[in-house]
Amino acid sequence: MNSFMNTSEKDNKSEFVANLNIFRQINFFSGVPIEAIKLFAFLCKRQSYKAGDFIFHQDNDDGCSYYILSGKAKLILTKEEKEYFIREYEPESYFGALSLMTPMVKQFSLIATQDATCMVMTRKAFSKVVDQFPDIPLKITRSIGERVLQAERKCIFEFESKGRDDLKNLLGISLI
Amino acid sequence: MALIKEKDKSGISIVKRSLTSWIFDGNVKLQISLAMIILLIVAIRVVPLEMQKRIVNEAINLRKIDLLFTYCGIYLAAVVLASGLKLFINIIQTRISQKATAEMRKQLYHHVLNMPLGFFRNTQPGTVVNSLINELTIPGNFVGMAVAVPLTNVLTLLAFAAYLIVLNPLLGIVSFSIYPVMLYVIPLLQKFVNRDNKKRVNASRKLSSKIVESISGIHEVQANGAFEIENNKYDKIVDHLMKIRIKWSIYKFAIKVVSNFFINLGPFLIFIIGGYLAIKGQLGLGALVAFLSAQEKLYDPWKELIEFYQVYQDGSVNYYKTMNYFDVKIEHELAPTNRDPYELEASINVENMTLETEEGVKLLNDVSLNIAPGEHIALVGFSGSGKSSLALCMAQLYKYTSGHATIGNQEISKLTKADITKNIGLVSQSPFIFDGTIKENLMYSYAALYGEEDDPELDKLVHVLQQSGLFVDVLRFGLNAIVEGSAEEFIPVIIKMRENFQKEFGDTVGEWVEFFDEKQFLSYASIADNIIFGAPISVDFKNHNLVKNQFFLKFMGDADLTRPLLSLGKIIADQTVDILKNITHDKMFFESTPIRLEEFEKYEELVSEIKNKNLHQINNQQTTNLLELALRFSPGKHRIAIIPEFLTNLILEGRYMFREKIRQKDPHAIAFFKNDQYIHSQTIFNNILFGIVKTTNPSDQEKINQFMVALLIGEDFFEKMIEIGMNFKVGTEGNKLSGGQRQKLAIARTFLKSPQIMILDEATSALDNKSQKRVQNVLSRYWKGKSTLIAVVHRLDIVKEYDKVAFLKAGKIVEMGTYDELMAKEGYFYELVYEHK
Repeated sequence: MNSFMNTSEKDNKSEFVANLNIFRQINFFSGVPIEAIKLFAFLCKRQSYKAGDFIFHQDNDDGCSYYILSGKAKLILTKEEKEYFIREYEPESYFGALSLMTPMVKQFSLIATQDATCMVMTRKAFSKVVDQFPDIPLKITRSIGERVLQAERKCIFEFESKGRDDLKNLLGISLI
Repeated sequence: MALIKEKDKSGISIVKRSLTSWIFDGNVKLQISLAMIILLIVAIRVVPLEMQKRIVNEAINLRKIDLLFTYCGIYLAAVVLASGLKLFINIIQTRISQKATAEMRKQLYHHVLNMPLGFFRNTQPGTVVNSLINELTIPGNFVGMAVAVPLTNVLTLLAFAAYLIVLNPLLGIVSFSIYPVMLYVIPLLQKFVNRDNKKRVNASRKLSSKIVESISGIHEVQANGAFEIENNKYDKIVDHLMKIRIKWSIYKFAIKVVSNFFINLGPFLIFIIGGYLAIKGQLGLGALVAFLSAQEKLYDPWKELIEFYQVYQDGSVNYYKTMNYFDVKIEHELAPTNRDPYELEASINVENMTLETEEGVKLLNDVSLNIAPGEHIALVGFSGSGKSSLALCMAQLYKYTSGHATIGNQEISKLTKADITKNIGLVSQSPFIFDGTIKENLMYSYAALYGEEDDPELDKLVHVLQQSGLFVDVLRFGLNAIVEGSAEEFIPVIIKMRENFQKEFGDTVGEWVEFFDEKQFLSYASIADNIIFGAPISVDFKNHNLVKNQFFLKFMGDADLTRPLLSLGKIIADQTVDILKNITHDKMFFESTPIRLEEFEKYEELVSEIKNKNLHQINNQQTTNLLELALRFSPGKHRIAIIPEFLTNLILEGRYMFREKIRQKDPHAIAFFKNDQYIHSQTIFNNILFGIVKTTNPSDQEKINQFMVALLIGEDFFEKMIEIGMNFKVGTEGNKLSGGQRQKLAIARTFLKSPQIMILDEATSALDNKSQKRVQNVLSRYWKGKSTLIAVVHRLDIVKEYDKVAFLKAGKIVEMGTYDELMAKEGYFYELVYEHK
């Protein structure tokens, strides 16, 4: 479905303005100046998926980050022909920010479980904005550090309080 | 195999040849005829002198009119003949010099292409360009002048000297006494000229290199905004060159001035001594006139000799400086002289091979390796481990410094280039794609081996395109082509495909495609296209002319479109300027707005001018600019604004009204979109589709492509499409292709050549997983057993497919065996695989 029709017509806002409002609420971009956020909103694209479509593929570096505008999607890990369901994402989820900053192969696949629309940002577009505002990566690194720390604390908690020895190898990731 | 010449008949390489060796090279007949004509011309040149004397002494003195006419007639005839012959000499001379320059350029270029790779690591392309284009011109001129100029002028001087000495020995000797002085002074000055000319050659090289460097790196320069850095570097070299050139030119002029000064001394001596003798009655007036006139005439040959001397000196400097620069030993002969290139057995044996740099770094250290014919071996290791160096040694691109390496028992270092290219196909890490079509690039290796006339069959081309995975891309290029010229005959087929496409797939793809339907507003077409709904035939109705077209402007007014479009234009301009002000502009920023990069400043100004104005207060030019934006606006593409529903309705109404009005005014101005008509301004793809693809999702686009392919096969149009696609022009260095497409093209061209030994140096690094697996499958299923394969591999998941794996570390093979053997060993390879997982 043409996203221009479904979002903009209804509330009489252009797609750009709608994107801008979303970007301002994404945690990852807090601290980034509004001029840069405007460029992000201007450069990102919307993409629609049918239920069952792959949004991204495991082992591929698509160089994109995604924000789910509508619909749901599941994260899947495939190893040795076996498929593991990791979790389901709801609207307003944002992921893939690391892919914007550096070449990074996706470790999972994301598959739409309902018809879905995503706001997609590419690494190329991101780097064009960073060329203009060189301290963006620094701001984003802070958010990433925060996120890694959160994950590490959770692991430590599980390791310590529930005796999860299998997590031991993973500990120390925040020391990278 | 095409014959390549970089040596003359005597077998001396161009860089070792002397400049004078070119004078008679292939020009013997021309130079001899030149000499004959010169003898004639010199003889003729003396005639006017004698005639002058006789006119004064005999005709005028004796008052004989008939003698006056006779002598004047002979004088005129001699002058006309001399001028004609001089023209003829110049023509021959030009031919010789241009031929010599061309031959020098060709031979040097052939030599350069065969020079060892190491040379190019330290040489900028600009230096080579400058040498080939600029520095060989003067040596070529010298070759053309080498016989003609000295011979003509020395003989002329001698003839004049003899004539004058016979006429009056004393005066004759006096008037030639100045020349020995000049012969001493001028070479002294020339030394300075030569010194500065050498400096000039160096500076010119530097300048050319600098230009080529900054143009090649223009992406980096612009991305970093490093204009000032680059300008400073460039300006500095230009200033340096300017200083050298000024000094060089001053010395050159000094030679001219000195030479002129002495020449002008001649008449002075004649007047003072000849005048004295005439007064004393020892010299006839006629003889004095002849002397004076001879002095005048001595000037030209002498000037030409001086010029020739300068050309010889400059030419020698340029020539030897150029040749010495390229005088690097060629490591491998191009082709064998007394046999055909070998058809080698595809086995490779390497024994204790070492590759050491001049600085003593061992890139390969005592490597030994055996590969049986048809066997596939993977070279793995960390970067810098020497795996690429090993592969390139096999391809003779690097020359190993000790040990042995053989192909079919022939030592690689002793093989000629022709032997290597006949047996080996190489795909390098970042293959070079040449300007031209896909087909020309695909045929590159094949044509180099079999000659350019030998065209492989289409089936064979299609086969390798499929093997490399480039097939789909080529098909896409074909579909995206705009039909012109000879392809016109396919139009009926394409129209028929359009019908079938809509019948068979219309419902399915309807979601991703906006079909041309006159009752519907097209979100992915511009507003102008929505109104006109057809391809303009008259230029007045091309998009960029609409705002200047009075008929169209009046129509917009009548259709109540002007004001709402003006308002839309203003929103677009305001919004774009707000987002993009104060930043450095990039093409990418202008994909989502109808304002173009080069127009930004204009609209930025416009926005500030109309900031606090209402629409009725803006002037004509501002109105035109805003209307232009609105007409270009396409809501599907430009997400910066939206079109209110009433406006889309007005536009649809306007579409019908426009059609009615234009039919009355100029029925042939527009070719309206109709289901049974071809749209010439659109691609084949859009013509079959009869609509515009609106999805940007690759998997949806892939599905549309699949439908299209099914249709093409059904209509038996598939191969034709591939042919059209193969004519796609790839741009300079293939920059219209993606990195993956370039690699696939390079792989396809090696597959087409079908060599006995293939060397792939990380040849699939830019491909996505799927494409890489496809190529690996083709290698394992189709080429195993047929061609020996040495592959430098960086993705470990495909290593299993190889017969043997060699793990390199610091230039040594530290582990070698099958995948399973190495995994069982739990050594370096095992560790690398584990780490990767």
